[in-house]
Amino acid sequence: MSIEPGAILVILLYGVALYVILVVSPRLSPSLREPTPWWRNVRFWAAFVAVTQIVVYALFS
Amino acid sequence: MPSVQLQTLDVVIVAAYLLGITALGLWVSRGIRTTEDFFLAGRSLPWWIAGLSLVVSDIGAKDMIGLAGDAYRYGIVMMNFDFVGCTFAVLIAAFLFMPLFWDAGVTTIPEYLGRRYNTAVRTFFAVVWSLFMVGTVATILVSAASMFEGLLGWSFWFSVGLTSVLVGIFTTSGGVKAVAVTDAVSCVVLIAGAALLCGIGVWHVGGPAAMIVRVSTLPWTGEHFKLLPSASHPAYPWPAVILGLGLVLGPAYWVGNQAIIQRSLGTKTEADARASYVFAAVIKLVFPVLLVLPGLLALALFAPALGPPGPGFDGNRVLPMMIVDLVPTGALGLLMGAFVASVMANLEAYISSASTLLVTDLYRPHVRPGASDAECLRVGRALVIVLLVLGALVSYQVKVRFGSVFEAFQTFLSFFQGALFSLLLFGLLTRQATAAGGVAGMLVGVATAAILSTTGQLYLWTAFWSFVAASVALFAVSAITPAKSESELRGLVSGVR
Repeated sequence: MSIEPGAILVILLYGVALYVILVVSPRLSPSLREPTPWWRNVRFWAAFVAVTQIVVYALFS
Repeated sequence: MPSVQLQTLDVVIVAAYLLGITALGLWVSRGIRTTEDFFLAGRSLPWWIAGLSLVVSDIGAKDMIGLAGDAYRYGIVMMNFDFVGCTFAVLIAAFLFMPLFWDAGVTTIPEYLGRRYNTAVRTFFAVVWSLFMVGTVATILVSAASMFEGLLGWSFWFSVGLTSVLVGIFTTSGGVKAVAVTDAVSCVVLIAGAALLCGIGVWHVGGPAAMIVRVSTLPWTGEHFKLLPSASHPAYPWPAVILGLGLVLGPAYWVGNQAIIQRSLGTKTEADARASYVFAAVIKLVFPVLLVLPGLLALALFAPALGPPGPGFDGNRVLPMMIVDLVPTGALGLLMGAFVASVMANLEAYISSASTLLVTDLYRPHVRPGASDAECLRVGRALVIVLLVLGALVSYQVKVRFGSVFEAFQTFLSFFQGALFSLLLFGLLTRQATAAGGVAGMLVGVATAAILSTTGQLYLWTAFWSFVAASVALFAVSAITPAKSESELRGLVSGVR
């Protein structure tokens, strides 16, 4: 299976989104550093969306 | 195109929906006394209502009609409007930009631009957004008219008039809170309706595999199942999809669109605002499939009747034809309810946001600086009617000039989104952008978009190159003009608190 250049770029975009969600955002909003169960954790769900999109573009482009 | 006769059960379902949603909206509208109640729902929206409202503020009648038509024409590339143009932008907006807007404590995006740059930038974008919203209202009214014309045989002007009156009653009474709460219900009905149509279509065609086989055998569908088509694609080459849509149009829409931002600014806290965005992103993982699939199903089932998507092809006929030919009694009522829900939700979002912009950024600062809150509330309500009338008047031009309502909407956006996103991005993230730089970026960006659009450039490229031109002008002029002091930038720029 080969991935086309466009798909690689989209995957990179979502990689940037993951970096913002997991690394940058806790520095901007201190409330995001507080421990929260995964089902109520907004960063978990945001990361889930980003990873799902990475899988979609890896498989369907 | 043949129209359908609604059966009693369908009429009952649609009437029950309309009555229920109107009663809910009026009940929620009680106690609207200030402009903050009217324009920001008294900052009381729960995250899940704001999230559902965000989804239907973005996806509405124009998308149901327009995406089905464009999916028939171009295939699954249309899903990128959500997968590339929305989800990525929503995630970045929620975690990077939302905290900054909350710190700034603004009601509108032009208000932020005015504080970050100057009054000229604020006024310019308030006027441009208001004009854009009139155009958007027109595209939504065309969507409604196409559907009612195709399904019920109603005339264009009767459909436009009836839709405008219904939405006008609703939005003048309750403001953003009524809009958001009824949007939440509409979102659920819309998802159910879209899923039902897809289910019926897939059943008729004999399953997803049969659909793919039938579509693939048509001579003009070579790239219909490629999410990112080749660089030579006539409308959506992959570099333009990623650069124009992913990097400019999408983020500009989700960071700078008043109709979108207003929902999240109406929540109780910054955390609620962020959660509303992420909730919308989760729903957006599924919704695009439900909106694009009808176009592919129409290809599989009705290609001989609808014909190849060449010059003169009317993409707005695709969805009504599917519904007329496939949907049984009862289900038709639910689908009509879903469609009416999407029309109302979409129209309300744009009308209420335009009214907010006009009062906050033009009436209060320029027309009547000493206006009381009660006066602004009255003006806001009156503007809802004015905007609906203007949208209705423009709607016929949209109908005759554009191949699909989705194309019309995106074309309007591409004129100023590049410049807007450049000013927002660098205004929020850097201290170097100056007031004069902002004015230069704004003028150069919009002028570039205007020139490119007259040369027949694809609107995705127009958006991208106007962003590049605006950014170059912004930094060039900022380098030779004085920057604002740290105290003036406090709460407006990342890292300056």
